[in-house]
Amino acid sequence: MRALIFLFLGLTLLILGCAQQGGEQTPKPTPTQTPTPTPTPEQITVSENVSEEIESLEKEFQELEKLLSELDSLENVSFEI
Amino acid sequence: MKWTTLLIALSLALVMSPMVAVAQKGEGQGKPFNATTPPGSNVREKIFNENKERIMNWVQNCEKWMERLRERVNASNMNEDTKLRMQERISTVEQRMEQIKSQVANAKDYDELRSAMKEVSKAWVNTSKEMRKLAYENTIERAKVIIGKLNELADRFESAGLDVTNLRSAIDEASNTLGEIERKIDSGQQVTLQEFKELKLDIEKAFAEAKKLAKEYKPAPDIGIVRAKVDGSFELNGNMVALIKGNGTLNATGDSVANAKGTLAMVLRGNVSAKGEGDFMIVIHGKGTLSMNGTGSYAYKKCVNEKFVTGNFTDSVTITFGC
Repeated sequence: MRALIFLFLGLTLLILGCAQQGGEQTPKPTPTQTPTPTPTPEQITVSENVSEEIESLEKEFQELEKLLSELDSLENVSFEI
Repeated sequence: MKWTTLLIALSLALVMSPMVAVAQKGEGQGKPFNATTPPGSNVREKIFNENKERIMNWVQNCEKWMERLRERVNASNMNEDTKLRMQERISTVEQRMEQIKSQVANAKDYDELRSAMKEVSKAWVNTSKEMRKLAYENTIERAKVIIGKLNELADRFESAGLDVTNLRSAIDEASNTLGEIERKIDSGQQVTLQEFKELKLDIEKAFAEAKKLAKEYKPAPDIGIVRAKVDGSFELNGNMVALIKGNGTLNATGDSVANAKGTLAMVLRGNVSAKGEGDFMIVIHGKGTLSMNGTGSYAYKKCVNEKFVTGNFTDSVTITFGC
């Protein structure tokens, strides 16, 4: 008789456990598809005035050259006293 | 006897007087100059102050130069990693300059200053090497951009029907000189200022050619200008001068007939009907339509007196140009 009661209780618990598990079961999340980013092409820049662009490039180059020649004068230092 | 004593006394006086003078000169050596010393009365103090001032001014000039180099690096469009690496190196040099400054500033007397100068002189050997390396690297990065822009100008002039042979040749020379410098730096070889002077001459020559062409460059007011990059396919129709560079297949009919495959660079003139598939850069002066499919970007003006319109596409786009 005791064995039957234990069997009954065991089965009840098993059924309840399964039911709970089933109830808690949430729908599987559908994998979200992240859109593959399309590489943005590099923006083209075109100068409105070619002469101005040449002047600006030339000025930039002169600045670089100035920086290099100034380094020469900095290196031309005497530590003798 | 009297005469002998007098002679000995005179001889002793002659020998002793320079020794006393030397001893007086050495007095105060290694001792700090203090407020009790009247200003300018001591030659050594004067030399000490002058040298200290000279070196402090020089350090300040170095710092100003480093600051300008930093500004140049920040303003440049080199990639962020390279920029960050250069900024870190600039900071290291600036820290060394600070150390030099404090070594000089802390010198309290002539001897301390002289010993500080010896230390500074040793430190300066490596510091100046690093400064030069940084300056060269910055110049190379910027020169690359300048040469790239000169190439774009050459494309534009060529697509307007101008003869760009001399400009292309000058750009190629500059590009080769720059490539050689870059190769040396990458392989750890010593680069001399002379090589940068050669680069300067080459770039100046290219500027001179570009200026000549800029004077000749006068597009008619009723035409449009297009510069586009496409990775996909394109179709071009109209009356124009079109420069097409890239890699792929190209078929053109009309006044300019062309069938090409692979890496190509060609100019189509007159009535043009062209189709291409691949990765291309197209520069046009004229009237017509350009349809592009795939991904790319463009800048165009419908009429010469209008402003450039720029854009990107990831599907298709059609540009109508000319008034």
